[in-house]
Amino acid sequence: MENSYEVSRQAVACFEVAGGMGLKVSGDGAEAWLNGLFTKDIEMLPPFKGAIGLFVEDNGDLIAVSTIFRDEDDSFFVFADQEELSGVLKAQVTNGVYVSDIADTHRVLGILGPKAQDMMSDCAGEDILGIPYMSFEKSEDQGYVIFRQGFTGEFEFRILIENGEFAATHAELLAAAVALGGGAIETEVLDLLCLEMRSIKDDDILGQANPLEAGLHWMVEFSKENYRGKAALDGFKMDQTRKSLIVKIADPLIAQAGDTLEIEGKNVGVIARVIHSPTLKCDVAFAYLDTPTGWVGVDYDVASANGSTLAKAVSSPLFVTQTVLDA
Amino acid sequence: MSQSMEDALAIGAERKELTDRFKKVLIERLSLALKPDEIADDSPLFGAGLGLDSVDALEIAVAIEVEFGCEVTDEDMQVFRSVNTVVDFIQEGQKAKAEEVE
Repeated sequence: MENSYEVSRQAVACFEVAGGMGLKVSGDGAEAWLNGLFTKDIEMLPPFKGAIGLFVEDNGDLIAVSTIFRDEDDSFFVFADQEELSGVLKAQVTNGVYVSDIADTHRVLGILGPKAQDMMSDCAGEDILGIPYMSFEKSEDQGYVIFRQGFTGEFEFRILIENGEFAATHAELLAAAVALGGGAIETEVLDLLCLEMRSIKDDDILGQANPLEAGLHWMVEFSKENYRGKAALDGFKMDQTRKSLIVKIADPLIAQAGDTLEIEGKNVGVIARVIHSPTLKCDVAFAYLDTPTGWVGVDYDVASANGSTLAKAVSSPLFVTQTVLDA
Repeated sequence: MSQSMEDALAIGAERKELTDRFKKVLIERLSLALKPDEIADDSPLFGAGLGLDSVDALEIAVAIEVEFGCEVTDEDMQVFRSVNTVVDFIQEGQKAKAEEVE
């Protein structure tokens, strides 16, 4: 895991993106249908551009965080980590909307790290340098689709490759990564890389909090007139009694998910997930806190079965990444 | 032991005041079509978050200098990734100024 972290933060990682879901949504009714379900407005999305937003239930409960990209023929790529989203969307398909699984024909490679852009430029041509974040390009020469997206704070790409071409392309890109001092990684490291940048998993929210308590305001277009769950999210905005923050834990290997955060013996929060940050050399946790005491700079007592320690609410992202420093 | 509840609430109140003030400045200076309660404190300022760009970053730097009296260098701007990281910078700058005066 340590090597995977170093490769991702210092060089370039190459890995297959397993799990999650990808759909292609097409048809005359596709845009209106998706727009009625998604918290961001995709009507104004130009071809080759994407948006990060949410699918929520009528009561505002999160279904999935998702990225949607508009293709040049006005069909849409819909990606999410929650596999359940696929079934949810397919169950709601209406006339004029066609949905197909990308996994039937394609597999996805992930490329990330401060040297990722150089590597992809070597492999797919210098045009890669012009792909803005949350955009994609079809590489005619290489025969794959390159999406620039990600939540780790480093340059990050997702490469959509036809099944028949996957093995050869994977080998080529992995060799290119190795040549730049990078290579394959254990994909478990991705959750750690993301949380250091305060990019949380759907599981950090599901069953525990609403999307605004999780701090996902930026994934919601509050001015959008209508979408499923709008009334609920507007209500959450008005009445926020809990919020989320990253806390730094004073002592390692004590805090765990479910531990309460206290001040003078009063329960003021709960830890949702703990990671060890190699860059900060300490444990950090994603936590939900009561609003009056949920502020950067406040200390909490951690009540854990493993002992007691202190936690301090801090700002995130937790540090400036090599990609940003090099820019 | 953590600080007392009274001290925790005081830390929170001070932070809230500064955070709310910075969000209002951000919205006014950049003409954002957002209300303060629509901006989470750790939302990314750039890219897919609030969607600000390098021109907006310069405007934020000017706003910090004018509204909060904190000098901003090019290097300082690298840490401006979220509302909270900017408020950290303002708090540290104001604390340093107060210590100079003393």
